This record gives sequence, structure tokens and C-alpha cells, in this order.
Amino acid sequence: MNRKRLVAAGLAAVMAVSLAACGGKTDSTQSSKTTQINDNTANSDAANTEKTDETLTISLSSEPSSIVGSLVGESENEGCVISGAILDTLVATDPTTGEVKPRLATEWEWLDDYRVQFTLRDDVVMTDGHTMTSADVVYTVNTLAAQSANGDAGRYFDASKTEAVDDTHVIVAFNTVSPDLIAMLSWTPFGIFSEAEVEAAGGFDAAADKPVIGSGRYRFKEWVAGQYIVLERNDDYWDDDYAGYYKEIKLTFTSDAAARVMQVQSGDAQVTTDIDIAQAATYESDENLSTTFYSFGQVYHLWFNMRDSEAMKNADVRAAIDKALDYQAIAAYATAGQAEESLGYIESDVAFAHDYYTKEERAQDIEGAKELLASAGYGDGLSVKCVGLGDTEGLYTVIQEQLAQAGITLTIESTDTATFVQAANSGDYDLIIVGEYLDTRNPSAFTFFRQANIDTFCIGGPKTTTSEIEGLIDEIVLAESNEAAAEPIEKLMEIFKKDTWVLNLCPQLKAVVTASNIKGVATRERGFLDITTYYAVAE
Amino acid sequence: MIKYIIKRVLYLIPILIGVSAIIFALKTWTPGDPARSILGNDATQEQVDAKREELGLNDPVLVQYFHYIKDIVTKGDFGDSYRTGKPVLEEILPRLKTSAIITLGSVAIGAIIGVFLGIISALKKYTWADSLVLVISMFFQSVPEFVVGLALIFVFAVNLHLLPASGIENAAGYIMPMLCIGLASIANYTRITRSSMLEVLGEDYIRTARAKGQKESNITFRHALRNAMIPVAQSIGTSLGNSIGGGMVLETVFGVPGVGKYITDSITQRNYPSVLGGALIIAMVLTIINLLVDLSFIAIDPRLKTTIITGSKKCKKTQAAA
Repeated sequence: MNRKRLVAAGLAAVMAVSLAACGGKTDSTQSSKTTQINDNTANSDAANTEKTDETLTISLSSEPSSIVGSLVGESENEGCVISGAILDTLVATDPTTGEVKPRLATEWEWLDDYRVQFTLRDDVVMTDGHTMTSADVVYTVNTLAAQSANGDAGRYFDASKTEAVDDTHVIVAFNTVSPDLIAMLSWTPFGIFSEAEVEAAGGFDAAADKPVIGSGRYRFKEWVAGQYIVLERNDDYWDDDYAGYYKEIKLTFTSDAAARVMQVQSGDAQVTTDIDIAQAATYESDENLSTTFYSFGQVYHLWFNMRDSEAMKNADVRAAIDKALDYQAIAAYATAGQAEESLGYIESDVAFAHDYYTKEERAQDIEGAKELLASAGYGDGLSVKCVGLGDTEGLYTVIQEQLAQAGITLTIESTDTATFVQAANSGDYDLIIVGEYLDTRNPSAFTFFRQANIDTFCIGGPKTTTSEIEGLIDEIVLAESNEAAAEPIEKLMEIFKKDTWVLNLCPQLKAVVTASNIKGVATRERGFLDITTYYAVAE
Repeated sequence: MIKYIIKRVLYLIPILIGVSAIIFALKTWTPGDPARSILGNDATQEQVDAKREELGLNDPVLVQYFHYIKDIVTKGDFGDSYRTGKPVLEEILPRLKTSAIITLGSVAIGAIIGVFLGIISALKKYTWADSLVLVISMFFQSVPEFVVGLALIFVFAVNLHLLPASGIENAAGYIMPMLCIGLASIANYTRITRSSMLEVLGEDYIRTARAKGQKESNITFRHALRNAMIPVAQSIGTSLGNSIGGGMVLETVFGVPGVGKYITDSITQRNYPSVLGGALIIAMVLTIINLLVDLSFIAIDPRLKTTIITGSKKCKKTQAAA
């Protein structure tokens, strides 16, 4: 009997210790610490005025295959977050207005439809100590253009006509016409580096992995494969308004999101990124954490295969699917209640965004959907097949359930990146769900697809087009200004809306979780996080 | 003995050919384009085609296979990773070292605790101590490693601040991954040790030792445990083999750059040189581990030398002659 009591007491003690340990410091009564990034102009933050000798540790979900992918023709995203701190671009873009602003270039002027002349700053110091000149810009353009067979970055350059005028003036030539190509030069892969730096690093491959190149706010220090990358503050940075709060930034890699958040809770890291939206919302009550949601400018689109699918050729069927969907519920699910349904074809905080729907137009109407299906000859029900990437299976289930209410049986096949494009372009599916920009004045959209000879608008798109649509795209791509492009964009989107060419499902969000005393979460162009703007405040 | 070792090493040839042939076959049958995976969704078909040509993916599979095997045999070259462009061997070896350290540590933790608990369980059979040992060991076996890993981080890193939550920059970083895998294997060692010990403790020579007045500790550790260790050693060998290429969940949770996650990620990216290289290297390591385990049996019980080295047929003949 005594022995049994002893065992029971022992077990109770073990449980008590375990529970005490698991109690943590979470206080469910704390007010929400969730925020959203509204702008990325962190110029008034402490990161720009104070310097410390501290190290900031950021826990990323995966390790990049190279840090400056554009040097070796890579277009993966992981390295862009890091290379954005190492390399500076000629220009910047305002995330809310799309306005192009100076960065390494102070001003620019179009010489003709294809060539633009930049005036460069004369106080930019590169890693090897030399002052940046137009020769560095020419070298960067030549390098990116040469690598364009493998990646995106140099696709639009005409290297043969890019030339230095003098040390601070350079002419950059493009091989296509679009005024917005200047905005593209603000993207991270277009950061400027020099030939001397690349040669000192040991060539393109070595410079991509150990990029002691560029003129950015931080400089590469160390990369221990599989473990961490360390950057150190560039004390010669040209922008006197920016100080750089942390002396070093250390980036570590852990796949599991819960483990990454625990690293922040333990103090081993101060910031972690790529947290699932639904999961991030659960950290709101933790007083030790601060959660920031941000849009990276993408929307989930649902495209109809209007070439191969008999049902999708019918405008009534497409409209029925539109009516059967509850966009508000989809957005609530996909963004964990952080964002409302999309009313435009691109995210509202991306340049050139427009609202094309009212909330009323986007309301679910099951009876209306059934009527449209009946008029199209599918009164007894319709079975359709869809393909999408495997990272949004929960969203697919929501869509399946909504369409089922109108008598539409939706089968969704999830794929990985390696098989998605092949599947989406195969013509074997009635519907395709894909997260994309479809930014009508963005070189990555229409200009790119034109050059790439991809059928119509996008990967897995409608697979058909009309002369009217093609004419409007011509007008948009060739417009001399945003104002000039506005009218054809409006007309094109009206066609998309009227004939239900594509459905915009909801915006895509990402979340950053930081220790509660860390501030300065900001994004760079194209929604990449800016890792140079963080700073700590006293609690 | 040397002849036996050479024979076992030569077994590697058909094993490696089989493993590489299967992965090459999978490469053909699995949907998805490595070139597309490298270049991303926005790449044009022309770019993808150029990349396929560069990677040699347009050659017939048998030609690709022949080139691959030839490079391994003649140059020791397992190919370059599609993702990073670096030699696969260069990428895998540091990861293999990390996995090996964690595997050895975890097997040691599991075996030491498991054998200790197994002995207690056998000596105190059908008592509360026996039941408690069973409950504890089954608990760690039942809870998924992933959950144990997060729980360990929560307790030792978040709350007690004793160990780093991730990374292996210092020795402390290895402790939680080792514990996590080790704890899960305790039940296995406990169960094997217990049953093996119970069997041995019932043998005549143990009774004889007791009758001769030998100390109980001497009987347990000198006479019983040594003979009971053979199935445990066999299990350790199997665990070493399973863990070295596995442990992916742990690598995911603890941010440890091991070989398991490397291969799994490579499969997702259709990075076939890395998959192939990883699988072949692991196959080699497993073969060597199995050989060492077999040799360890001889060290534990020299009577097994005949059985292991000359094979069962010769053993039978010897027994018949006797």
C-alpha cells in the first residue's frame, strides 16, 4: 500500500513539474499584438538612427541555394530576402503608389522607347572600397542579360546598347517597350555589383554563395552550410539617414514553424518568418511575441480552361461558379480573418490596383448559380477537375464545399512546383488555382508572357484569347505612362469581369513573428521582407 | 575473417547497382521536371528546354545511368546538385557526419537507459517497478518524435533556458536531438533486454552460479547480461541503420542539417543527383554498419564466430560431425 502511494506521489510530482514547465508565460488576457504593415518606409525608425553592437537572429524556414541567385540565373525567392540587404538597386518603388524613387540613381530620363539614362550617386562605396561608377551598372546589366537564359532577371535588357556615358551617367537599354521597366529595376535581383568584386570573390558561382559584393546596408560575412548565414553592418553605407541598429544579422534555418516560434520565445532568435497565417493568429495572446501580417501582392486566381473544357467554354457555367463561391468565407479562411475578399484582380496595396467588384456583386448566390447551370444544360449537376499547388489544400476544401451547394462536384489535384506548370498547361483540367500577381502594368505579367510566347495571359490561364483582348494588352504594354495605360486596363478588366474569364479568390498574406520588443518590420519591393530595418525597444 | 569481411564489402556492388537502378527508374516514372523545379513557375519553355539539355536530361535514361555509374566508378563523382551546382559528395559528407553523431548519441542514450530499465524490469518482474518501467518506456515510444521534440524545446529552451532551441553550433545543440530519438527507442531496448534477461536468468548455468554462492550482482552483470546482450546488439545495429538516413522530423524541428532532410528535400525538388548520391552513400554506410554489428556479435560471444563467418551450412556439418 505504501509502495503504491509512493508511486502515485511520484507520478503526481512528475506531472506537476511537467505542467509547471508547460505553463510558460502566456497570458490569454493580453490584448492583441497583431499588426499589419501599411508601408515599408521605415526611415523614421530607430534602425535608421541608432547603432548597437548586438546581433539579430532571424529564423528562416529554409536555406537558400545561393544568396545572390541572379548571378547564376536563379530565380528562387529565399535568397532575395538576404540579397536585398547586400545589394542596392538603381531605384526604389513606393509600395502604395507605385511611384519610382531614387536609390543609387538620383534621376533618370527616357532617351527613346528603349533607352533610359540614369544619373548615379557619386558617394556609393562598394565592398572593395571603390566608389560605384557607371561601369559597375553596365557590368551588372551585362551579367544579368548573360544569365537570362537561366533566370528572369536579365530577360528585358539589351546589353549591346547599355553603355557608360561617364562615371556617373549610364544608359540602360531594354529589348522591349514598357515604361514600367524602370520600376522593375527596383526589384532585388537587379542589385548593382562590380566586376572587381565578382572576380575577387572567385567568379559568379562563388560570388553567388559568398557575395562580398554590392553597396547594401549589410555585407556578407559567413555562411556555414545547413546552419547559418551572418551579415555585418556596412558602416560605409551611403545613406546617412540610415544607421543600422544591429551590428550583425544572423539567419538560421528550421523548417518547422512551431519550432521557429519557440526559438523566438526562448530568445535564441528574435524574428521568424513564413509563419502560416492561421497559426500566426494563435500567437496574438502571447505577451512575449508580436505578430505582423503582410501582403506580398499576390492573389489566388481561379482560371477556367476555355480551350479544352466543354463546360468552361460556356459563360453561364463560369458565371455559376462565380456565384456559387462565398468570397468572404474564402478570404476569412485563407487569411485567418486578417483580410477581406479581393475586389480587384490584384491586391489593393500593390501599385496599379483597381477594385472591379462591389461587395454586393461578390455575394454568394447559390440559387442564381443553380439557375445558370440549368440554363447551360447542367441542371443535374456538373463534375469538374481542378489542379493547384499543394500548399493550399485547406483552401481547396472550402471551395469544394461551396461549389457542392450548387451541385458542382469539384475534384482537386494538388501538385508540387515541379509538376504544377506541366499540369496547369496540359489542358487536362477544367480549372486551375494559382497564386499570382497578374499586375497589369508589371513587366512580369503581360510583357513577360508576350515575350515568353506563353498562351494568353499566364501559366495555366484560359488557354484562349480574342483579338480585342490582344489589342488591349498591346495598348497596355506600349503605353507611355500609367495614365495612358489606365484606360485599356479598365477595358480589359471589364471584359474579364463581364465574361468571367478569371476569378480572384482572395489575397495571400504572410506573417512575421518577433519578440515583443522588436520593431521595424518592413517589406521591400515585391513583398520581400526587409531584414535591415529591425530594432529593439526597452520594455 | 578477412575473407569474410571482403565478401561482405563485395555485397555492396549488387546493393548499389540495385539502389541506383531503382532511383533511376523512379526518375523516369515520377511526374515533374527537374529543370522546371530549378527555374520556377515563371520560366519559359525555351529556358526549361535549355536547362534540360544542360543537365543531360534529354539523353535516354540508360545513357544517363551509364554516365552516372561510370563517373562514380572512375572518378568517385556522385554528380552535382541540380539546386546548388555543388558536388553531391561535398554537400552530403558534413550532413552525414552530423547525422552520424546524433545517431550514435541517440542510440547510446536509448540503449543505456533501455538496458538499465530492462534489467530492473527483469529482476523485479511482475512488481510495481516492472509496471512503471513498462509505462515509462511505452510512453516515449507512443508519443511521436515530433511532439517530444517540441516538448523538449519548450521545457529546456523556452522555459529553463538550459539548451539552445535549434542549431548545432556547440555541443549543447546536439543534446535535444539525441534525447528525442533516444527516448523513443528506450521501449525497444527495455523490452528486448527484459525478455532476453528473463530467458538467460532461467538457464541452468545461472542456477549453478547461484548454488555456488556467487554474488547476485556478479550473476546479473557477468553471467546473465553478457549473454542477454546479443539481441540488444542486433537491435542497436538496426537502430543505427534506421536512424542515420531518417530523423527527418528532428532535422525539421531542431534545424539540424542532417542527411535525411537533405534527401527528402531533394526528392521534392526532383534533385535526382542528390537523391541518388544520398541513397548510395547511405546504402554503403548501412552495409558497413551491418558488418560491424555482425563482428560485434563475435566479440560478445566467440561461439558465434563459426555461425557468422562460415555460414549456417558449414555450421550444420560441424554439428553433425560432432
